[in-house]
Amino acid sequence: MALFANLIAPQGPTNLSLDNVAEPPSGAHWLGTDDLGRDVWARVAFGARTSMMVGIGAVSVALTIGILVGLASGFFGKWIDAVLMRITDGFMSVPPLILIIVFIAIIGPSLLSMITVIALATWPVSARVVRGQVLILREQEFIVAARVVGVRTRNILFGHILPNLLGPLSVVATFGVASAILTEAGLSFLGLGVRPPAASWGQMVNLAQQPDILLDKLWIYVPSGVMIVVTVLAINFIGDGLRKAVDPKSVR
Amino acid sequence: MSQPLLEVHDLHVEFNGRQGCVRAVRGLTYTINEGESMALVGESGSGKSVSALALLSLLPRKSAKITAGSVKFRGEELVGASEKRMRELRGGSIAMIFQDPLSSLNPILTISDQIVEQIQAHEQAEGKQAKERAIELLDLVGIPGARERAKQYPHQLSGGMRQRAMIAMALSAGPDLLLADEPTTALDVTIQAQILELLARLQRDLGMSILLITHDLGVAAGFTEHLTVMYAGKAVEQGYTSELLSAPNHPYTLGLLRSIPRLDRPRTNALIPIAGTPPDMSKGSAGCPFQPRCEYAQTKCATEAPPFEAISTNRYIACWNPQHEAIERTGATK
Amino acid sequence: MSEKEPVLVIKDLSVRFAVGSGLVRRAKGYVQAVNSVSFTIAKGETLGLVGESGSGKTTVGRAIVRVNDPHEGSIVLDGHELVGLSPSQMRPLRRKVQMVFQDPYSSLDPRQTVRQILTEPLRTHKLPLVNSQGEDRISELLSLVGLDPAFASRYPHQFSGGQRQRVGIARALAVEPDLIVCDEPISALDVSIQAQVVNLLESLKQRLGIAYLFIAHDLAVVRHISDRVAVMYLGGIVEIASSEELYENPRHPYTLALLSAVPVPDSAVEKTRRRTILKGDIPSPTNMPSGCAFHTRCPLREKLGNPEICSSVRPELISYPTSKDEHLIACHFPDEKLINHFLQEKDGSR
Repeated sequence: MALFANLIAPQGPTNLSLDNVAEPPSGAHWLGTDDLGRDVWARVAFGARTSMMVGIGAVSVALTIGILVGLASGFFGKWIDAVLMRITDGFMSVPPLILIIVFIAIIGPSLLSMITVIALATWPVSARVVRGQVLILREQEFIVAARVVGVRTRNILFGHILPNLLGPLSVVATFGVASAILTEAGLSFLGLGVRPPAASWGQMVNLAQQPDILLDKLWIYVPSGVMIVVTVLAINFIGDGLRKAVDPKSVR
Repeated sequence: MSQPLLEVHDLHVEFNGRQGCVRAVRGLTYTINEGESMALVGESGSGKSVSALALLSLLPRKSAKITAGSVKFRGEELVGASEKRMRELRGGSIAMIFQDPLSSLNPILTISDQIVEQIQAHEQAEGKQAKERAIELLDLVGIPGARERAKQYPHQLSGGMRQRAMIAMALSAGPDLLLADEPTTALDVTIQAQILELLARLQRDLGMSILLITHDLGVAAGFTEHLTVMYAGKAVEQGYTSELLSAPNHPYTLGLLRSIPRLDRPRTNALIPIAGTPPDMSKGSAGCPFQPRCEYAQTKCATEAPPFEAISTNRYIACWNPQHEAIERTGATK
Repeated sequence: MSEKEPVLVIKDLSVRFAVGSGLVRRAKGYVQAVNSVSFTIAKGETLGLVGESGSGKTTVGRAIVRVNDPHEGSIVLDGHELVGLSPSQMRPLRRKVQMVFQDPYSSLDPRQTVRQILTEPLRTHKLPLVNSQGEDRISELLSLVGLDPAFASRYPHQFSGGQRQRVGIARALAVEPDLIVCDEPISALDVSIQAQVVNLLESLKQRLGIAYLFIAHDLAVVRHISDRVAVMYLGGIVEIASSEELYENPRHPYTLALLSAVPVPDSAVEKTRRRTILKGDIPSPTNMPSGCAFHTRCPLREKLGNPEICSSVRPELISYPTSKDEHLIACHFPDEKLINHFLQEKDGSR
């Protein structure tokens, strides 16, 4: 949560200052500077933004597609289900890495392309989860009761089924965010993600490939690595908490 | 035979779960002699099934415990007995059948395999002999075409057949005592009649004792000589089935009989429900657990728990204010 | 609507389910769950529908509320034909028929408060939330079913099974239906609570003049609450008569067997009654016997030397000759002498 407020870095993340190249942490630069004189702390802070945007952005898109597909598939069944599931299977059968690399090669790396491609690679998971849950819920007597009362289908879907999906969905969402952040970090590490001068944790860890940075200038890459781990852990805990909070039965 | 087959005295069973301690059985006493049958009747939460599982040490070790009381089988104390001894008894001298045969039978083994496994575990026979014995048993329980059926899997049999197969398994070592936990509850009524008839026949022919756990007083009436009624983990009334059902003394038994519709009474007889709801078993109660719902309750009932003791020959009751109203044969329209 | 006009007329209702699926989910075959069933329910009457597994009784109930669609036959509710209606045409008619379900644990949305659950039917049909005296309808409904109006803000998991069932009944009552289909409404409840709910249903019937289709497998309860009873076996009605008549003078061999299988909490009666215990299992609807569905287990047929007609021709529901009220039976041998003879042999103590 603290990550959100990290817009407080006085030095911009991209300010070059060739005088202060590769300085260890000091009063002016809390985490030192990197090889191009940019403030590491600022880059970590702005990298957080990147991660969050990718994480939340990708998951939002993936979930939206997934929910719509899963609801339609699970609730209406028959040929709609058959067609949608084949499409889903199609997406799932492409190895995500290949999909991502090809996509980025075509569109070019950027924040937007990252969000898009991660969303495309991960929506099938949420679609399957949603469909599975909908299939179970559909047969529950309270759904049949709603039909008997005469409730319109869209009201059943959004008033009864969707609220009952919040539990499993919050799990999918939080893992999705964590996984998206990791993916982004990985892609940026490989040079396929966010390019400099924009900041990204993965990118910063990438710099560790140079032996002198790896051994002598730890301040350049360690903070980002740590942030990745801490963030993913934190999200997992939040997810757990969210799941419990959203279940009315755990209200004490 | 002077020694009773099974003696249960003041049994207490506790579960330790996340919500705290649930005292599922809070005082159960009964005796079963050779060749006799007894029904243990109660609703959900009464502790009847738990008490039977406790007898055979079938409750999960970590969370459930017998905290007091004794269980003697032919004079041998079972509470605290070693797991080895219990394994010898289970399926051997004491067998158990359950409500849902589909979940009690192993879905990936054929019927024959399962019975043979049972036979071999109690060293009754080996190999081919065991297989033949299995088929004999399936015949005994009235499964037509036993030889072919033995090779089938549980899901290929109907509910009634599965129950018969389970009974065959239970009989394989010639038990002296059969614990039957709601064996017909999940079955259709015409199939239930078949299974009960089978159990009655087996009891007669094999001289086996049966403890029948059920919530259905009608099933108890047709089948057993003795009856114990349980409520909230305690035995509240006990006696000869026929006497107890025609002249119950405990308000709960009385209430139950008045609230169920019966084919042998005029259909316009009013159903008089028992007010309130069954108690929360995670909470203890100071006095009689039935007191909140009892229309004959006295002040004493809320604070002091009545002891389970004899009220007349072979009639035991835990009540401060027993009733002596006989259930009328014809009943009036109220 | 006049007093005499029935609330529900079912004629030749048949429902089947698709079995098996190919790549594109095309059905490979059908299971006939309900086979040409006909009956009527008068205004304010309770018709009990009994049967064992595979009898089709639940399917009949669900077909009436259009949860399952019949492929043949007609359902006329208050003079309106229901079969073939589109969902939007059906919607206004849903005010006339509602359903109470078996499982109190899954028939209420766990995420909604009682108030929300009860408001939904009112809102769907644009009914007022406040009655003519200015009282809150929700409170009125809760009082009607014997629950404290303050419970409206609670969630289902905070209630016991019996209380949840009452909420389900309140929901059915909200739209003021003429007919309520009760699908095993008490089977999932504890014995000591069942009477409470049965009495509630009866008192609501007295007060509001609602008709019920009471579907259950517990014969004693059905006898108590119903005015007339229909017995189903493998998708067809085998006998239908007034409650009194059916239980006093059952004529169909299946009804006889069914009644004699019901245990009675009286040892003396149990020990002396003669039972007709049927042999064999109930056939699965996927493997429907030819001719009369009951012929494979029918003791009367056996007694008569296995007449050809039982296994080849499906019997129609015909009027039983000597009864005073309507008493229909689906049997090729409804001859009184035969049945009496059979009864005497099997049921000596009667």
